[in-house]
Amino acid sequence: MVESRHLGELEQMVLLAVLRLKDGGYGKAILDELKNRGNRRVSPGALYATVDRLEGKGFVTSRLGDPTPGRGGKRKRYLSVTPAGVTALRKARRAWTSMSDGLEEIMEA
Amino acid sequence: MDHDECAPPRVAAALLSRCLPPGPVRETVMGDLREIYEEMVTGSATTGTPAGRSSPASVARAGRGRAARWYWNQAVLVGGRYLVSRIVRRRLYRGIAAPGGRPEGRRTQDRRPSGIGHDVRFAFRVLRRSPGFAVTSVLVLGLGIGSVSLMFSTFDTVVLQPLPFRNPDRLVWVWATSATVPQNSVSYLDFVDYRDGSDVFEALGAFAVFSRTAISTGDGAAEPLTVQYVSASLFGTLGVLPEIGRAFLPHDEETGRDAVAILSHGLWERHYGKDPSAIGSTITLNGQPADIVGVMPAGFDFPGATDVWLPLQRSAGYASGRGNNNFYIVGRLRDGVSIRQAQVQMTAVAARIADAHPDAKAGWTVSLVPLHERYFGSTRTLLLILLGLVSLVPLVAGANVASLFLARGATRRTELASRLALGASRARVIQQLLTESVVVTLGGGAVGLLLAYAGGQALRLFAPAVLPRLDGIAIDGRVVAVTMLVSLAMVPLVGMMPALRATDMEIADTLKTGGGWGATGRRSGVRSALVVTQVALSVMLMLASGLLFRSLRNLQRVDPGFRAEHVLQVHTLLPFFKYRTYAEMEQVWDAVHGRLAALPGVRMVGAIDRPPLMGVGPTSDIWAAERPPASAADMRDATRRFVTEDYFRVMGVPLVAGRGFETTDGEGAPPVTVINEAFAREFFPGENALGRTLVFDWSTPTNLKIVGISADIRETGPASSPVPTFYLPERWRPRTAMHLLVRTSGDPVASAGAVRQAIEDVDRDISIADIQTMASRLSRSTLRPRFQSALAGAFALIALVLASIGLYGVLALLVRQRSHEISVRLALGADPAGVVRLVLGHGMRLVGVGLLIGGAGGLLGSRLLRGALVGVSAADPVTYGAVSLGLTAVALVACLAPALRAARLDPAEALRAE
Repeated sequence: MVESRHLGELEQMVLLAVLRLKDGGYGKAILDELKNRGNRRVSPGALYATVDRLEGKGFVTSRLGDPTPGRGGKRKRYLSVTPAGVTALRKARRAWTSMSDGLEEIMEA
Repeated sequence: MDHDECAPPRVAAALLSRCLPPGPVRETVMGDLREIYEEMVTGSATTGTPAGRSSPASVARAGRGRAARWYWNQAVLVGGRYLVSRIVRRRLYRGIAAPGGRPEGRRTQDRRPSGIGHDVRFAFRVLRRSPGFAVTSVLVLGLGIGSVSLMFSTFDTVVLQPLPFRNPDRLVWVWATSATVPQNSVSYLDFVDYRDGSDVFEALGAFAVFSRTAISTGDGAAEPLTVQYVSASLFGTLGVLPEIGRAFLPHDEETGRDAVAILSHGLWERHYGKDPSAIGSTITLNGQPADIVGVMPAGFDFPGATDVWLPLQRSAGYASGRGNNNFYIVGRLRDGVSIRQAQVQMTAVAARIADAHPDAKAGWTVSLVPLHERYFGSTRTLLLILLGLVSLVPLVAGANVASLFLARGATRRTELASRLALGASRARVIQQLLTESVVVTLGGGAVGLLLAYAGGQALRLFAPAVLPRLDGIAIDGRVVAVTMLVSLAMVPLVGMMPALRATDMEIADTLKTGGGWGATGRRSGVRSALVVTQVALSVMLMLASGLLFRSLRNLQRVDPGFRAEHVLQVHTLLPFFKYRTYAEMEQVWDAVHGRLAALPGVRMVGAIDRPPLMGVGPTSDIWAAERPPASAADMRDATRRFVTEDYFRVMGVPLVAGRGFETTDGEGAPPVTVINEAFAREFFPGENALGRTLVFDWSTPTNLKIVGISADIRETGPASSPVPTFYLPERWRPRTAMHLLVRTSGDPVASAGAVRQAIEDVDRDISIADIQTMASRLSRSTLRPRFQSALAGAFALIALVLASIGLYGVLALLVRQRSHEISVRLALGADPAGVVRLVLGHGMRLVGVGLLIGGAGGLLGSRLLRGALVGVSAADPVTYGAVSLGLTAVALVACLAPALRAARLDPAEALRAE
């Protein structure tokens, strides 16, 4: 199966959240960022599915952190966006801007 | 908060952990979910559901429950996703792997060469090939499993959910008990002694047994509000604080201070549009202003249907005197104190009170019960009965599907034999067959969840009058978990035995004969046993529902003692700040009665302060004048009612002796009373009560002359027995609140508008709290038994249908298997009727055995129902007879089709097929 290079809306949001969080992007932090800044309440299951998909497309990579207190001593899986991921985001943004070009009256009301 | 306290639900965490692939994914996902869970519990949640705007204490408490629910849901959702993707991945890898080779997948650490993934895929393929079988099995199991899921989710929502208070398991209810009265309220002075004389409670709260209807005036139309007097400590005891403003303070209980009030969230929303400036404004209740100091959070409603809470006034009449048992007590146990320890100490406290106040408290002690039990004890019994009955349904469904599997195993013998012959081990083939049954039962579980969801919605529509808290009914993680457990528990029943049977064969024989025909007696014996099981379980369910139904009929046949049809009941309240004297009240009531009586379609109008079916209501201490009680312990009380002259006629309650009330029995006239027969039996056994004098405690002892005796009515519903009651003429002491009873010639509902208008025409400030028909009240009093018998009946019906299908299936198979023999018989000139008899006989033998076993089981099991039965014994012969007949009739129909088919067999064709 050829994986789509196109970014879904949630995928975009997740990529942006990971970028915003710099080195601190792991499961819960991303959920919080999506909720607080993106005003999106995403369930953990949906996030994991999205992250797995992004990883499959090569847009994010992950590494394991050190064990931390709290969370039952479990390690965190930190994400970072690959150059390909950044390119995909730029493309999505360009597509959005050009599609909405000339519609400012509606879009910015 | 330490970490152990923060750990998510253990079972959910273990379940989730098993579903996740081992390694970093498992670790990080478990960590994330735990972190969110911890945050939700500590109350500063930024993910998950917002905590709302309640007090911090209740947030922490409610937060834990919500967090646990959330965690369960995530465990199921996230775990399910990974489980499915693992299975799918294995399938893919297996698909491309060389035969016998190991897949090179990084994630699939598959230790079993013959993996589950393969079996699951194969099972789906096999089931797709026989869709009829698959769909039937899944639906039948879904019906069985769904019934259990539905009852569990109901039970969970209604009974298992904690009360919406802080640490509700620490809350206890304090009853006063005596040898004759098991549960009674206490006086305010008792409450103070309980509080000051014990150290087992962290806090003790009191609230009045009565709620008052007050009319709020000032802005807009007069609206009747339910007002509850509470101790300042009550909200703190329950652990719920006002959402805005303050709780009551101890000095609020002192008379002379500015009156204060706390509003319910609903009233605040309705009247003030949730404006915070309501705090500090004034509400006028019955003409008396009170400052609003607080608003309780949404969802807080204690003791129920309250609009306004007022602090009790220590010096008020209802709070003074040992004998004024006007309060219920709720206590919060101190940490580390068990209810048993508290009971011991409180018994001692009650003994001291009894010693100090023998006149009012001799013979009284206290008993403590958990608050939850106080409120949901009776509902729990009802639901436990239904839960017990429903648990038989999946057994019937399982036995039914097991015989489907058996039959299918027989038709697949050639396939299975080939696989065994080609070297598959028996264990391997059994594993494959079991996987098929797992797929089918899990499918049944999924269908069951859908059915449970639909059923839950239906219950929400139809049952709220019977069951409290149904609004919260939902399919959550716990229901899903229970459903899955029940589904998996069905696997051995559905799959194991058929799998063992199907693989237990002589390969060579089977391959030679082509399978199918070689059914051994042993296997058909198993199938017969399954049918007998189904019949027996159905009989038990039918017996239970039959007994419940008979009880219901008995209840409905009971004569309540009054005629409820064509009576409209209008709860009417005078603005008592307007009508202050008895004369004024009498006048306005007369005006109301006059208007109503003049309405077209109205035949008679009467009134009573508390109509039948509204609970016991006020009672008074009372005794025969010539036999005053020797001590407080000998004091007896009776139900007291104020009625108008026409009350007995309107309600169709006959007077058996003497006269009723007359307009001359007014304020200045010598007080008279009408007693009911139960009163006469209790207070004047074997004597003539008419003309005797009673003394009753009406602030001072007051003499009453008995002028009439009325027939008994069943005051609190058809299951209750008549209680001693004495009636007083309303004209003697007119009331501000009465239930007008309007007997109409036609449909009473049609007159409701005109009645309301007529009352408003007398005075717009008279408020109407409630209008309903007496008949609907009467039918509501049997709601619970109706609900019980309807659900039990539904379960029995499902079981009966399943059992009939099972019976049909077995006989159809029997006819097919023996068609050769039957054909030969027919060819040799056997009578077709004889063939029909043969097949029917076989079926009815199974039914007979099932009836016997089920009857015996029912006899044992229905003892558990005894509490729910009215006027019918657990071994009621009518029910047993009817169930036997009904089941036999249905079974005959189920057997008839296969029997007739056998008789019509064409010998030539059957032999040709050979």
